[in-house]
Amino acid sequence: MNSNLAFLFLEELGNTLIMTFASSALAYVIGIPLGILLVVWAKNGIRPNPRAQEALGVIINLIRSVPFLILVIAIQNFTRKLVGTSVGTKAIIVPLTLASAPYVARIVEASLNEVDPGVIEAAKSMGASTWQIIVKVLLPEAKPSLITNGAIAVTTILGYSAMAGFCGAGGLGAVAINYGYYRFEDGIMWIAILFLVILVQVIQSLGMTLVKKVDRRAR
Amino acid sequence: MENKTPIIRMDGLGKAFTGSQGTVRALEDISLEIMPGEIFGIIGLSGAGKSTLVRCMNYLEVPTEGEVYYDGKPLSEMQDAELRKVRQSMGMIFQQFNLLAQRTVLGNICFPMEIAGTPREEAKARARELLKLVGLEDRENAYPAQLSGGQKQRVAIARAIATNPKVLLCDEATSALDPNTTKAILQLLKEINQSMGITVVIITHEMAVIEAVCDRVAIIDKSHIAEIGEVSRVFAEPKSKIGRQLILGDAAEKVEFGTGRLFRIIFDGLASSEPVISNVVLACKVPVNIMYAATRDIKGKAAGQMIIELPDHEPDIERVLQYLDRAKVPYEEVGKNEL
Repeated sequence: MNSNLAFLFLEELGNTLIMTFASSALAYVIGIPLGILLVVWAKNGIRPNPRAQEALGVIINLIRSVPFLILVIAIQNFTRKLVGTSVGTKAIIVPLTLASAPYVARIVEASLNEVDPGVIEAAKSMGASTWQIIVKVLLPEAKPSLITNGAIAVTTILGYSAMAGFCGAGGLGAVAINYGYYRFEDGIMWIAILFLVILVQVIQSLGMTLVKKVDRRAR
Repeated sequence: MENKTPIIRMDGLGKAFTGSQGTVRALEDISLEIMPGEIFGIIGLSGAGKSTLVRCMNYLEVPTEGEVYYDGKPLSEMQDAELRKVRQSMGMIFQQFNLLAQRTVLGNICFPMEIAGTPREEAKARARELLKLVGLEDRENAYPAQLSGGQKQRVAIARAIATNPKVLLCDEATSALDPNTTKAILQLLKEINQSMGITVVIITHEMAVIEAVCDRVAIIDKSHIAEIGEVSRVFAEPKSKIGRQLILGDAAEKVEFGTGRLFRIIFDGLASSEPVISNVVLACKVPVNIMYAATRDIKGKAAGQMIIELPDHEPDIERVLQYLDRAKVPYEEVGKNEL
């Protein structure tokens, strides 16, 4: 029984990690370009296109305003078409990515907006193209902030993945829900919660350590 | 100089910003020519439009009227790629230095060369050469946060001239620096101008900067050019009101007299070589009107008395009297009818 339980936790911890990191990675693949567009197209951006920027903003807000659990159910058919099933760890990555990408786009936008406009102007004065400014100025100068916000994004996505336990996803959230909520086995639920808490701590402090290492501004 | 093409020419240039508060005309009817190899100063009070003016020179700001010519070619007719080429031949430095915080000193200087497509090793070698020129060869691995303001501006200058530009635009480049550092940076700009033949355009609100290095100067006031000419001529006889104000300072402002208070100063053997009244004016920044004077120089000692009028402004009078106390010059207040 005990070794069964240990095996259960190990397996579900693995599922949680897969869900969280696969979705985070995919969300960043979509979110970084969107975040860049939000900044570059802004009224005072390097390539202003306020109408396109506004339209993109509306779409992002629209997706963000759908509650996550409802989004999971709403796109069930799409998920099934994409990965062949609408339940389980693999399936939940689809709505998890879709829900996280607009959020990631917004925090990438916020990070890039922190870059000193004077430095961007200097790059322009040297004849840098829009692409060169994005790749050589915006992203590298925003790196510490991108990492800080990245840690926040991953922990948030971890939270979403736990919620997804209600909708047939696996992972530690599902353990907490199945044992604690449906079977009143509080002990197992608390262990699952403990795992989640530790995960958040680890991700957060890894992020902070990394920022300290890469940020050249202080000292 | 007369038969050369101006490196930068502005013709009837205007720039209006339209915002929610209506239209603001930052620049109007600006025409000027900057000749290759000269150091050209542009001075004005803050808000006069000089920063916008310098940004029109490399089209960071696109003028709403008139034309800018670079080496005879109109910027408005250029495609993006051509304009970027022009910008690569015009370096720019800024008040806030605008260095890349996440790059080392060497990385910052290599940056414009990366943009221009210079091979990496060649860029590094050139960057080291420039670091030597600006006197920072031992700081190539430092990050901007580890440098002082003056050092940051030196790195910015090295960066701005890395691609061998023909023009160096300086936007309030010394305004964030202390007087000694300002002097050193201006000296460096002058050296670069002389040894490399780079045309330098200096934007500033400080007359001392113009006086120190510029050949010619344009005075900008309320979006217009108030006056333009050789620095020596403008300094000797400023024609515009703003020119007089900038050059002579507050002293040019007309002071109303006749309403002030009168004081008698007694000279009883002070060294006559000491210009008491001038010192009072300089130290206290208070205009002093000499109403009456009878002093004589007797073997190097001043003797006699003088009646001066001070503006009827308590703090000013306080300052003057304290100064006289310190200088041990006796004085007394006199009534108007005693004159």
